[in-house]
Amino acid sequence: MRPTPTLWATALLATVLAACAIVFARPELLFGTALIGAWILARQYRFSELCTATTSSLTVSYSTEDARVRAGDRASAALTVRAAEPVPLAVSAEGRVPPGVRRDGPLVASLERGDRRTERAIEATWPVAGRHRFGPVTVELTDGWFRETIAVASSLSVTVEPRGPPAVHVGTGGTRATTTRGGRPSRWVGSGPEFDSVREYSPGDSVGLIDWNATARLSRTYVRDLERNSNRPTLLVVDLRTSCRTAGIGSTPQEYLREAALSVSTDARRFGDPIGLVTLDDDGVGTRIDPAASARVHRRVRRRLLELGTTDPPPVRRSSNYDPFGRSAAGYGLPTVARSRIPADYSPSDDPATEPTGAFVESLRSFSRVHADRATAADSREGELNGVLRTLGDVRLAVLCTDDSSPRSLWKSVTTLRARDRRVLVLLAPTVLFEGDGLADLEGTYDRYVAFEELRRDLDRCGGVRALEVAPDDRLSTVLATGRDRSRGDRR
Amino acid sequence: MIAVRESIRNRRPLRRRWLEATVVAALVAAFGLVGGAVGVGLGILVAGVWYVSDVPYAVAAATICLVVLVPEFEPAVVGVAVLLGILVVSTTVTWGGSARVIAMSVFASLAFGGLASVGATRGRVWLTAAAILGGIGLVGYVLHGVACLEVGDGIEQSSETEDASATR
Repeated sequence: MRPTPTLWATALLATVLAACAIVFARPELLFGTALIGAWILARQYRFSELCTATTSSLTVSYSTEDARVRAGDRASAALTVRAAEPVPLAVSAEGRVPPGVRRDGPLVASLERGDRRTERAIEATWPVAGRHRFGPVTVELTDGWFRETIAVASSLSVTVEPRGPPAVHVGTGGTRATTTRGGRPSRWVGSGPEFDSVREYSPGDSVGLIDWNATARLSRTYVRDLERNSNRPTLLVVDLRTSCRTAGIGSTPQEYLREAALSVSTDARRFGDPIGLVTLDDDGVGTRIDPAASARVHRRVRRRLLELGTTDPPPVRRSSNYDPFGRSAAGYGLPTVARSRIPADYSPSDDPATEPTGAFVESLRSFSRVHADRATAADSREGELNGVLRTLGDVRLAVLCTDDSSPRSLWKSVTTLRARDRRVLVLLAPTVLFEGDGLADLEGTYDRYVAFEELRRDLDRCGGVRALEVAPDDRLSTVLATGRDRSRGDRR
Repeated sequence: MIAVRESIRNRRPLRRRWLEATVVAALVAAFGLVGGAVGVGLGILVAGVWYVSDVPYAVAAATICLVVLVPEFEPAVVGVAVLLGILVVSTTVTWGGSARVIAMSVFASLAFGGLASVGATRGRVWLTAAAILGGIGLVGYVLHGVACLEVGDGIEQSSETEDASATR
């Protein structure tokens, strides 16, 4: 409780009267001092009573348009002050907006004497990704003579998600799959008996799901979505190795994979499936969140996914002729010229006397060493992943988010995840579409994309495995258009 | 700090201040009895101060006018002081204060007014002034402490999100 300047002036008046009484030896003036003092004390006691009554009937609340926004988006925030009965004091509440948020004014709501409700809304822009917590609300009560300030704690926070890549394609061979909007690949959707909704047919949907009545009526193919009532523990396995974090086009494969993984996570939350997360980095298993259906775990997984790519700046991906991981699939990865020069029986363990020499061979040798190191690391990583999977218990769907830079490691991971008859969804980013100057040689890029597509199809053909490509939509369209042009040329 | 839209002067309509107005009218009459025509004039001045400002300023003006009007301390001064005390108490009634607030104002007026009266008759003005100011300060501090304990825990807080679902 603090006095206002008006009260200080009144107190000063009483003191001056007392001083005058002493100076002029007129004790009558002390009556003025005594009665003004009595009035002040009565006023203070009255204010104290009103404060207690007002605060007990007051509710202060923050509200936001959305608890989760994208970086740079606008979302209004409002501060509401409500009272159960008309307030006898003037009430002003000031909300503390998180730092870094741009707003069009202070978040202050004032309640006049006799009012019961007030609200103040501001337009806020959220430029910084992360979790932003609103500060405590400072509530001030005053009767003009005294004021009381109370801090009311806040529990509201807004999660600002980083901007994702411009357009994410998730599908097969350039055709979109239904997972991009949080749906599941159609071959696993619709086991429940309850009808959910009708939607337009998309490639990959089962023929058995076609709603023939709706199709006949609307002249387009429609399918019936059945409500899933599954309880399928899902594990996201996200690859955070250097190759996934290498940027050549401004965005990394990891950013695209993150979007797809977030989509799976949203989907799992919608269906109430338990979800867990395991991240694999260059050293082995990083984050491990065991699958659970609780909202807390879902939030944790989502938060961890959102954090990906927001720490270290990604390394720069070199030109398409650079292949740091030594792709093992025949005709896959190494540039055509380099492949043609590798001796068929070349082995790094050959007798040094008979070993080919020269700058190029030295380069190959260094690649080979890297490859050997990577292979060892991959073995240890798979071993670790295997160990984690063994302790995780029942995981019925494993979603592997990775790129194609190391097919051997990829196959090992899929094999590991496939154990115990788990279903595996592989979200695979073609590295060729993330290279800075990849579109300079469209023909070459297309060839490498075809190789990637073969790898994806090989994976997709395995029982219980579904492989989808995750790529920049525009670049993929460009590369596929090149392929179509080439096909037309061949036909002529 | 927060801008509080609150009129500093708690000016209320005169019809709600009828009790205070009655006491002020009695005060003007008392001034007339003590000082004749000059007293009535000073009484009207005090009434004007009460009307445009608030009770503490009216009390201060009345005390000063009384000193001007009466050269020596006499029983009539005590009579006017009692009226001023009634004015202070009537203010709490006008506020719509609880019985405890009214009791508080009666108690404080009697206690500090009585102390001033004792000081005026005994002649130790500085000691009386110090006792009155110290007493007011002490009681004010105690009230502040009690208020700190009572106020502040009551405000309820809630947070809402219009759309709690994910944007994605």
